[in-house]
Amino acid sequence: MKKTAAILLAIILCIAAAVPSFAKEGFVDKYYRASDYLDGMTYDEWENLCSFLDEIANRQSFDVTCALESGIGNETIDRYAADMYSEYQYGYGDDKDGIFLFVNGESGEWYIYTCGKGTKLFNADRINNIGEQVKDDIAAGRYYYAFMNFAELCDGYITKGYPTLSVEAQQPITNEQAEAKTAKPGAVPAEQENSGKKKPLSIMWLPISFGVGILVAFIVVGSMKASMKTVHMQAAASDYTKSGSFSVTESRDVFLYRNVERTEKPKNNTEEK
Amino acid sequence: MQALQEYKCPCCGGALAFDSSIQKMKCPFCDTEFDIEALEGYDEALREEKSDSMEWESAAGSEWENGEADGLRTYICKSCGGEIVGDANTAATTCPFCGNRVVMMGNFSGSLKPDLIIPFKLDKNAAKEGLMRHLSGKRLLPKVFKSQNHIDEIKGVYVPFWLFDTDVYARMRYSATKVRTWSDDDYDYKETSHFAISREGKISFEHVPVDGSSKMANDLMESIEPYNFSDAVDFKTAYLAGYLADKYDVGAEESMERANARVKESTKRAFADTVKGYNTVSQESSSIQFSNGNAKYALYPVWLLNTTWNGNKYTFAMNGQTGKFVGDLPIDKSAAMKWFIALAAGIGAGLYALAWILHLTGIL
Repeated sequence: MKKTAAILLAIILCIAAAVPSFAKEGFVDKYYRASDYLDGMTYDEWENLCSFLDEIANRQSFDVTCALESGIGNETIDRYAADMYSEYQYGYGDDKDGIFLFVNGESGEWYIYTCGKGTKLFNADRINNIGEQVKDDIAAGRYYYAFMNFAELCDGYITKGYPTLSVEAQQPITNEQAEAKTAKPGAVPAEQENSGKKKPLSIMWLPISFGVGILVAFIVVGSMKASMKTVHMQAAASDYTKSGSFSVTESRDVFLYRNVERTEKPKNNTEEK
Repeated sequence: MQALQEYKCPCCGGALAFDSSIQKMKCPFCDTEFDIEALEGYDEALREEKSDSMEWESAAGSEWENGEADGLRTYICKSCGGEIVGDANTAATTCPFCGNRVVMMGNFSGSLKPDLIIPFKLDKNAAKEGLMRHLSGKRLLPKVFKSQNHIDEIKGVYVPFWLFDTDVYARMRYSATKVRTWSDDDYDYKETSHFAISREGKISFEHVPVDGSSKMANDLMESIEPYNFSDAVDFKTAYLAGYLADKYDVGAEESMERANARVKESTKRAFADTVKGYNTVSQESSSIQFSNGNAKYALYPVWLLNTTWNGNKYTFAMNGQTGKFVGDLPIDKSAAMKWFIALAAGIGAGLYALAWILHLTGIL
């Protein structure tokens, strides 16, 4: 029995160890930091961008992310960006420190969302400056350049630290200064195409799989135990019914009344991801 | 002294026994076979009113009362003079000294005489094979149960049964509903229609068996049903030779309640099956009346095996006519746990691997 339990534990640990760990401490890393649902970038461009954003995140312990969407329905862009940032679990640490550039490719609108320390690092002036630098590329559909520019500018501001009113108001950081701080994007291992953005299999599948295994084992062993019990009282005497003796001499089905219940349908809010 | 009936071979004097494979009496020494009818002369000892047979009964003078079955009785074997000890219900047994097969005629005389008997169709070897089939494939069975030591402990017993016939007239009332659902843009609708259902009719039952021996567990005897009544024949004591038998000690009146319960349940099910086309049906009331009821006393063949394991007694039974084998088996708890762990780990690992494959191929 002990040997069996030890073998079972070893199997579970081996399987668990096979699950690769991609997440740096502080990041959830459920989705890639760049999402392209409009195919506005080539695969190589998207790879380079993701690699650059990952490098910034690991170095700065701050999440710089972006997304290009093909439409947002009736939702407002700020609400949509905030929901997406939350759903994709971007951000570093408990406060989800990060900055997120969201572009609605359908309308050309864009929005910069900040969270945690990002709200202090990126004040209105910095955001305006970033916006000025990227808006033309966005409008022209040069999304890769817009996102790379955005990432470089953010990296520079993060390195610079929290803004002071008087200095920042006079000296906004330029692209050249931001570029001097950035590292060259390295090779990104090809794992998924642009449209398949999900990270490796969630660890939740481990308890789900073994939970199902336990349930099936319970059922199978239960049926094996049931087959060991064959003695029981007979509830009825169906085997002893005289053939042809059963006859229904009177049969009545009378309708009494009817009632109708009505339930209002919930109203749907339009949400597109 | 109680009259003992022994069936001796007219050719060699050996003790005859009923052979289930040929359905005749056969001498195991000279292999001579005899038809049952040829031995009918032995049954002349049976009389309708036989006061002599009351001599060994209790002082109360009535052989039908309960309580008499509790006592031990002593018989003298005609072959060797040995003392055979049994209880008042023992009707056929074997002398423990010389192996001679005897029938206690008193326990089958007068109103104790069975109306019918289903002779054994299957012999001891078939019972052994039935046991092996019953034990095979049982992964949770302790290995000791499969040892050969237990197989020889098999007894062929004629068990007393009461067979009940009855006609039933029933009136049943039910309430039922039909449900219809639909939707439009704003609402989901559910319409429930309520009905009152009534059914009247008749149904008949025959040969509903109820175990008439308090020594036989009722659930064990009911588990080996059904018996094929077409093989039943008029009772003759010659069929008992070679087997054990008891007379009944649970009377027809006491057994009737069990038969009534089963008949009632069958009647309810038969009428409930006629109520169709509804989403829900529930029985409101039932009125079931029996008529033309009668009971017959019969002996049915059963192979019994008793064994003890881990301080618990286990009894197995095989229908001596159809071969149906029943008996609760002990469960090896450590084996059950090993199976549980192995299945949980194997299936869990397999599902997790499948999830990974689906994820890598982009399906998940």
